[in-house]
Amino acid sequence: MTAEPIGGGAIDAIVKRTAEQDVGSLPLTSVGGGNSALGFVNEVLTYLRGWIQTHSSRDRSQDPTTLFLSCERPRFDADILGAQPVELFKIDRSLPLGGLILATARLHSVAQVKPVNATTISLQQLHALVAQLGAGDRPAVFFFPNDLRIVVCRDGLNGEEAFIEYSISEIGVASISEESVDRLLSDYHRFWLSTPSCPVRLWHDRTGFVPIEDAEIEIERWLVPLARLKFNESIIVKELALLSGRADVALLPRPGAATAGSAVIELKVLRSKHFAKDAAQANDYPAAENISGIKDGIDQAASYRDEVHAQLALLACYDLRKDTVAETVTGLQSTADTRSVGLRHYPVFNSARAMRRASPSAVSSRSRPRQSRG
Amino acid sequence: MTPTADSTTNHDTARDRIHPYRLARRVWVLCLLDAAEQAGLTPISSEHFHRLAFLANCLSPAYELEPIDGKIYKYRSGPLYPDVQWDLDRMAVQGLSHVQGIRQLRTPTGVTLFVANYSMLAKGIHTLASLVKAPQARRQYQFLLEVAAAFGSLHGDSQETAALNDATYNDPDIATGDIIDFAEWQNRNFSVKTTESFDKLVPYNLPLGKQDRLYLYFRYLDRLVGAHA
Repeated sequence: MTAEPIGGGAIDAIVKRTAEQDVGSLPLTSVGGGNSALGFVNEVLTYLRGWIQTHSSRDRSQDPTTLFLSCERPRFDADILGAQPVELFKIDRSLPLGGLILATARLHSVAQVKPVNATTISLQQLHALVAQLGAGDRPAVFFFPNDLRIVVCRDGLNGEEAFIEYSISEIGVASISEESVDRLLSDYHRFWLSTPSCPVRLWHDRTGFVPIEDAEIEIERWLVPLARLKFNESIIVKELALLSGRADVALLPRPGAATAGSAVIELKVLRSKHFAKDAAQANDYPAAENISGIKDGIDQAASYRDEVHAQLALLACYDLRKDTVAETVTGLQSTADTRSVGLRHYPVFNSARAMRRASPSAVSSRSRPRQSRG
Repeated sequence: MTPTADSTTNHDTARDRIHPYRLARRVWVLCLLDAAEQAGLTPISSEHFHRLAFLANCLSPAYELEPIDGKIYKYRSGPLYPDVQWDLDRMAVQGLSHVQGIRQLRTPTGVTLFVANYSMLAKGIHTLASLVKAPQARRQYQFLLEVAAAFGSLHGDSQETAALNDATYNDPDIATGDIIDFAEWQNRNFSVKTTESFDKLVPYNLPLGKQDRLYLYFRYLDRLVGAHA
């Protein structure tokens, strides 16, 4: 006997509603799989988005710092710290945060070391607790509620270089516009990509200007959780399969939602060197291939935009070359204008010193003040 | 939940070696208990564990895995696997898991059950680390980690009743007291059907992976139970 279709109007309606409302907000990585830092950060950001919205009208000036620390078995860790596991996240988001929160891969059940209503805990105390746990290498996220800042410690509190601050004051933007997408991309570049100390690692050998093998994929992977944080009402997907190819990142309106706007973002990495495991053996990347890549990216962005009937198409070029000259990108401005594609240039430096030496205008540039396609 | 007068199932004894199938089942149970541990669900009550086990069994084909048991007796009180219970208790005696809060529970139908709460012990975790080096066990374990995490994402009251509202368990054509056969001789697995139906319903024809379908199904159960409440 074969199974029959699920039935019942009410049941089918719930299935349909689930498909429409929850797609695009599902976990990004597998439990226990690779890239646990990405999955963990994504879940924390998702949770904080809901928490901040719940507490939008509240005075957060006295709220304590919270540290989310990734853990595999919260009960074991809680035992070490003498903490009682509490089910916080799956109940609601009305509870105040504070203290050290040991979070499972999906943040559904946690052990909170300090009482939920703790009002003060210093960073030093949090560090001491993590050290006591021997968990300095686990992905961690600080949350400072009073000014809506987060600090992502991709490789844990011991990995000093991976600390990055990020303001989430603009979460939950209602609509996708050129300005809001630009803000997302420029913040992402500034805080997550621009130097080797940022969380997203793009260098295989930074002194030799050799990028990692899949730099575009790495950029795309970390952009998605931030886009979800900012455009919480929209469907944010990566690698959207279309007839004309795969759109790197698509920001699409959710059926029935009141939000407006849609965009496709193509990502290109400009290189000086090909990837090679032995960086000393890396071959030069021809300049003509970079230009060809930008041209292809413009065509792809335009095609994907037209296919999904999006309003905006942007091509974000992340420049990992030795000489991050914007002219390579701006020289193709007229081509982009013809296709109504926004062209953006984001230099990625191989050291903080290189970034400081760059002129302010070189830190990031929009090659065109505005572009929009209604 | 250990039936007090369970003597019908042919369990391993001290005299006979454990059958490979039973060994596989016991590994599966240990994987599921550890998955519950990692989802922060422990100590997990036997009642919850059997419900989680049923959902994991039923949804295995969605990950192209064979269920450890393709049928289940439909109790009014919810899924119950006597063999799984045997393994749970056996592992507790072996020092792989911890059992606590043992108590008697009298069901509305007059049957008395022993219920308890289970969690992993360090020995169980170390043993499991060796067991899941085998590729097939590793695949099962990865699937069970996802199922437990998704189960943990349900609201508290939804965890109680999700299995009872599962599309297969709640099949109106199967009366209480009958066998639900979802992967043994028949193929009445409406849970997997539901996961597959998401592909046609998501906007923009967005591609879904196995994990996406699994999570959508649990969110569907969450909504469904919420609608019932």
